Amino acid sequence: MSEIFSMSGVNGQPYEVYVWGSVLVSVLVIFLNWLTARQRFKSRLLEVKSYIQKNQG
Amino acid sequence: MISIGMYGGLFLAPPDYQMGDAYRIIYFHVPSAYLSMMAYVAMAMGSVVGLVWRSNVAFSFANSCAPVGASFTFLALITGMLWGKPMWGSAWVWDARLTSELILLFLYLAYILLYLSIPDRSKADRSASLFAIVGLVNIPIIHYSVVWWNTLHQASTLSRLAKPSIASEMLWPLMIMILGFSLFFFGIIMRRTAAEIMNREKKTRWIGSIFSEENDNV
Repeated sequence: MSEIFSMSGVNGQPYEVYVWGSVLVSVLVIFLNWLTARQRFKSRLLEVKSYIQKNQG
Repeated sequence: MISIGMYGGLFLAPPDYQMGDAYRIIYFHVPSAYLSMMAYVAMAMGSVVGLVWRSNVAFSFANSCAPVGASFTFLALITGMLWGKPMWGSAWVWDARLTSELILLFLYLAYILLYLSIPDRSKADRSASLFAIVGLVNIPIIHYSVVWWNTLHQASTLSRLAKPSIASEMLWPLMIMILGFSLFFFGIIMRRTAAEIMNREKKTRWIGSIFSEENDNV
């Protein structure tokens, strides 16, 4: 199992931390971007809906 | 698409003859660096359109590009540091490419802070837009820094005119990652722009009519 995730240099230096660290940070940035965009859109939609309902009522 | 590119880059592409597996960081570093610059160009273009035509949509678009662009610039810098540490022996050097990319991050942050610090929205739009246009000068500096100066950072792997300096087995996951990141960026910007337009226009009649029509249809 650990062989699948092993990342080494040509002389066998262990590079797992650097490669998987990049993967982790990238996934985190992508996820946070998606989450904030989604939350922002939802909250603005609710804001507009409640504003319109308030003014119609 | 990003998952396919990730799988191809991490598991299917062969290791590099000099860097071994450490080169796989390019599958995250190159798309994020590319987007960090593209987002700024898009932001500046939105600013120009906003200033010329006084368009709220263009200002909203420019405004949405800033935080996303900043996050990709941050990602490009972090992945670059993670690559630099094993390859150069140092996570950071004051090299022209790295320094100009760091300036890009500061430009994004300054744009966001400038916009937030001005309470009047139309003044904030105009000031931040002017700032974005002036900051555009940094983009060619980043792009050509490896040509103009003798830098530690390697020359561009992909160029519009020249043949790619990377084997095709390593190239296809990179192209998929760039495409995946670009589509993701486009989707996020569209969502953020829509949210920003709703926020700006919630008191207008046209947005009210859209929601009343929606309520009538339900």
